[in-house]
Amino acid sequence: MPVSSPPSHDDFATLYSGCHLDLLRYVLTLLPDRHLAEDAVQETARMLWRKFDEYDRGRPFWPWARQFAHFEVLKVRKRLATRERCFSDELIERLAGERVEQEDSLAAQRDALAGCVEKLDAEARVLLTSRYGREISLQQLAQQQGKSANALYLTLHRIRLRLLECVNRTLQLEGWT
Amino acid sequence: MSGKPKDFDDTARLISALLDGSLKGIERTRLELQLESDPAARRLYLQMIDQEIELQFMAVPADDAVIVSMTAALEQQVADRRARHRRWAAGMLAAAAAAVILVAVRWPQGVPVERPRPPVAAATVAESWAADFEDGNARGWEGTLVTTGLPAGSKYGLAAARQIKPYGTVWDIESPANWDDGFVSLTTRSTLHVTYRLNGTALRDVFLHTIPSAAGQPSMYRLTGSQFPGPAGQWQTASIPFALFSRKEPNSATGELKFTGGPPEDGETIAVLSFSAPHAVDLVIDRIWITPDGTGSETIQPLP
Repeated sequence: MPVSSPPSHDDFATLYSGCHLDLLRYVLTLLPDRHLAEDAVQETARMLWRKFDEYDRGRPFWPWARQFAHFEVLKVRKRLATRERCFSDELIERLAGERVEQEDSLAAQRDALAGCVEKLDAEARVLLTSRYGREISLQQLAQQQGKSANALYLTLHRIRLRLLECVNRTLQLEGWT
Repeated sequence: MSGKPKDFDDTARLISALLDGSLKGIERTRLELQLESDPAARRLYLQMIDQEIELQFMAVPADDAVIVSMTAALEQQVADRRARHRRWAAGMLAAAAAAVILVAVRWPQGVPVERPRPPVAAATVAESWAADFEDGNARGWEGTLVTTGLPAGSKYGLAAARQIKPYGTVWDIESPANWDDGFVSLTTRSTLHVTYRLNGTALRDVFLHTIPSAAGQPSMYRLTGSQFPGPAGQWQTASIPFALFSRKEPNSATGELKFTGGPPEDGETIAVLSFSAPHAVDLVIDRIWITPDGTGSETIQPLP
């Protein structure tokens, strides 16, 4: 450590909290299965804590943490059968690199999303609330609403696209190119 | 923003299917090929991944009634809840993160960790407390406001919502934390009353974090030896003596932390109260209240 005082729990908590969601986004990009991704982030947190005394506090925490997350993703992929690995190793590396390069515009997109959700019609927001807020599966929702699961998949897909269009329009107005 | 993928519709549909867990075989290969060959497809993929996570953390009013007649106050509330989720990422999670690493991962049991806080003697805190959300205000709560399917005469309830925490994902309803004084002071006969409905999967746990009446460390308790939540699918009110909660404490031989201790003591104040499950749970609470007395035994009564 370049500094004399030993790392504290508070230091770690502060640094980790600042990048937890970034870790989740990063890992889900490379491991597009929510459960696997959450497990990998959890394991990453544990490894970060174990190795925290090796962290150079003169450097930013996020790139250091990201390396652990990347390693954890590779570990998970190694455990998976080839057909279960969603993407090739080459594609994973490319996505990882581009995710870092585009972080600023992705952050702007996230900021714009809230306003776009509020512009959705009531029916769309109900579906989002049920799907994300209450974590009801689309199959369950379909049963409740007397619709087919495919119809709801399609509806959710269209909502995602509307949000993307709205976000991209917002970013263009803000000067992102 | 950069241009659209060459086959935008197909790429977006495949990514959507991936996010829904329904992308299989040939389609997965097709998506991979598109991502490998088209930078705009990769950009779209990154956007949709981020959007998916952001939606999970964004509180959205829960049903048509709220949405159609959304008032300015509710708009503010939505904004507040969104901010709360962000604060959670930056605050609550911070406090829990260090602790969770120290006590190892409790995710298989779905047990939250104790949250560090400075030991503070409780000031004068009321012995009664209630929350019924009837003003449409659930500020500081984890959960999602709902307005339909409630008991007669009730306008708002709070439904369990998914929360990603350092120790894993939980579905919970959790009170705002008050680590300064706590929000209600307990007596040896204090009773927790909750009017709720649980559909399907059983609730896992009810947890308390308390502040001692004198200087000392906070404690965590779990409801044990209880019949709660009782029958599923109907509105009911449970009255649960706090004497049924057990303190988390280390085993004298192994040091392992377990909920084997005694109940909260007279004068302890509750800092956080949570209803939690490590799996999706369809729990809605219409009202929660705490009284300084009670019958001393647990009752679960269906609503008339």
